[in-house]
Amino acid sequence: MAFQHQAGTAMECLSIPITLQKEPGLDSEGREVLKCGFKIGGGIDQDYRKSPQGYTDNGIYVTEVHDGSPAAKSGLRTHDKILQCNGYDFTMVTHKKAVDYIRKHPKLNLLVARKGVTST
Amino acid sequence: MVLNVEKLNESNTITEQFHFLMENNFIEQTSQHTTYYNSDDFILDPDSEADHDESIVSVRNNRNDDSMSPYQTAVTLEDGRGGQEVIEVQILPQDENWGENTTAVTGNTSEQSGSIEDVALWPGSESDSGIKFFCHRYITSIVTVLLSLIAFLSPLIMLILPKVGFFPSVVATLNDHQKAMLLSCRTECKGMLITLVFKMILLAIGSWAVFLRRPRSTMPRIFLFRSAILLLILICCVAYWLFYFVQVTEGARGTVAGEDELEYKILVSYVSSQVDTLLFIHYIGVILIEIRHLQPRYYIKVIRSPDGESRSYAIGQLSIQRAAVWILERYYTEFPVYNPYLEQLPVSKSKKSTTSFKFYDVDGFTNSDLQPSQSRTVLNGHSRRRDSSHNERFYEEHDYERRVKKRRARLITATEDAFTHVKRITHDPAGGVPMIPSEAAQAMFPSMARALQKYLRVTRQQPRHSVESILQYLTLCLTHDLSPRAFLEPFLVTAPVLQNEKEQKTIQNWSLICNDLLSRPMKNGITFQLRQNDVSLLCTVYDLPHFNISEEIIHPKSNRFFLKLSSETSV
Repeated sequence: MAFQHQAGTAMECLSIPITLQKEPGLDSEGREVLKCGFKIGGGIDQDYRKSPQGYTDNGIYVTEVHDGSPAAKSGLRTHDKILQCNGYDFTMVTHKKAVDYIRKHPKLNLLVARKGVTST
Repeated sequence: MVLNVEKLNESNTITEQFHFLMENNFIEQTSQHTTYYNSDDFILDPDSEADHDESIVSVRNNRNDDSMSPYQTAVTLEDGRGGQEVIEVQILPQDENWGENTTAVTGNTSEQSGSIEDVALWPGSESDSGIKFFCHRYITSIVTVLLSLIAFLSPLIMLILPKVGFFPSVVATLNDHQKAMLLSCRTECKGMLITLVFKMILLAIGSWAVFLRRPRSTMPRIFLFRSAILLLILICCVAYWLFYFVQVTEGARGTVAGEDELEYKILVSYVSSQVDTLLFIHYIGVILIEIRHLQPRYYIKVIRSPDGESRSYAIGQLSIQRAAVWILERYYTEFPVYNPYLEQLPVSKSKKSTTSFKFYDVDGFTNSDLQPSQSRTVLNGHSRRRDSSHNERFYEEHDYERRVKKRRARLITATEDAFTHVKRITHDPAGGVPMIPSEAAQAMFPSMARALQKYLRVTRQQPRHSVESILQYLTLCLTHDLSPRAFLEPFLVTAPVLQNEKEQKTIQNWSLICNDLLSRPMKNGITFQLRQNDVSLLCTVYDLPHFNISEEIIHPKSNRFFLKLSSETSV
């Protein structure tokens, strides 16, 4: 149910809380930023049918987790769906908004849904 | 008729007695403004003789008859008995038409309210005609023309004078052979004469083309550039003539002494150089007077006062008076016609009293304690009326515009109908009696006259268009095969001011008001005002900014895009 969620409708599911502390690193232009070390995809402005990973709804998914990154250390895995980040609801956000929210704070308190773990 | 003398006695000073008498209409006002007679104006001399029949306070002091006529009173103050002031009232005779010439008709009812008659106190402008205006208008042109003529003809005169024999004293010392030598003009000299002739033709054409025009304005202060050019011409002429005489006499003396200095060729080249100088002065004149102000440097905003029309122009560097002339040119060709009758919108049918009352302060001394409370109530009344008058104004304007549009639509249909009745003889040869255009105009005019008259009445334009002028214009339209809309254009479009025939005078008087000297150049922030009767144009000058344009290079290699089908962002 968590992975076939219609954005905007009410849903109840189990989730995994993950705390992620960002680490300083260099971005593509060489500036000092705080990096988490994962990639996200999805959003209500995207079309989930075109996703190469075959996601089934318009939520924010973790598409890649870099090795040795704070994300990996905190327990984030690929294909996790982020339900909430620092209190912001991620089931009905655009892609850009999701990126902005993640980049906002140096410490992220995520609520994550994982297939096979929080649901069958 | 008895005056209550005790009450008069209570007020001790002459001024207060005058007040009392005035309030009780015992004294007439014959001047436009009331004047207060100070006690210094009168010499109250209790010790003087008893026969002072001179009335001090009455304005009419030449009727000292003792016969009684019951319509006028005067007050005389004379020596009292036992030191007491006794005021004796005498009734002086007066002519019977008392009511006719007592108060002057003014808009003032007290000296503290304003009146539009005060306009008459402004210094009047000079009349259009009269020798003074004529002189003022043409004096500069006459001087300029004289000076230019002198400058133009002096090369010719300088060349001709030796040939004519103007220098007898000089020439007398030479013998015939030398004279013939001096005045001979061979090939080289003839060539120079030809260039001289061409230069003079060019100078003449140049002056005619640019400077020989009807002056379009008479300015109050001196026109600096023109005066500078005239001064230059004068100096040039004087210098060249001076040196000419010196040259001729010296040359002749030199020839006598055998040094053979003066030749006619040299004189021709000298004259030719003078014409060169004049051509360059002409060039400088053209640059200063015609070309310098073409490049825009200031932005002028012109606001017309009674109706709030405004225009903005870009103007070059000019002195204030020349800028005023420039603006007036554009005023007459671009501003819409000012219709003073449109100031008052048509009153709504409900006829509410929208007049505001004036707050007078007749007795400034005694009402001072009442003033704050009175003014407060007045202000409150004003503000309350203002709140409701917002809506009134909106609805009135809305209503008026609707009416104008309705009548305009009816006018257009009526005119189009009328125009279909008239056809050219070539188009429809089977018609009735052929008529000349004026007759045709008169024949078809009544069918649209009513609609036109109603429209003119609603837009308050009927003073501007008389029936003859409309008929004349209709004749013109018929002659030139104009459409009905083209005929209606002068009534529907009230654009440039010069369209109004009343404004098409040869001379228009405007007065220019400015804080700075009028012949100074314009600067940022200067305001000046042009006034004519009711219309006033307030002009404000602002600087045009300096434009800093820098080049920005966008590399064409940056014009590359890539398609992001699956949007993944790494955070």
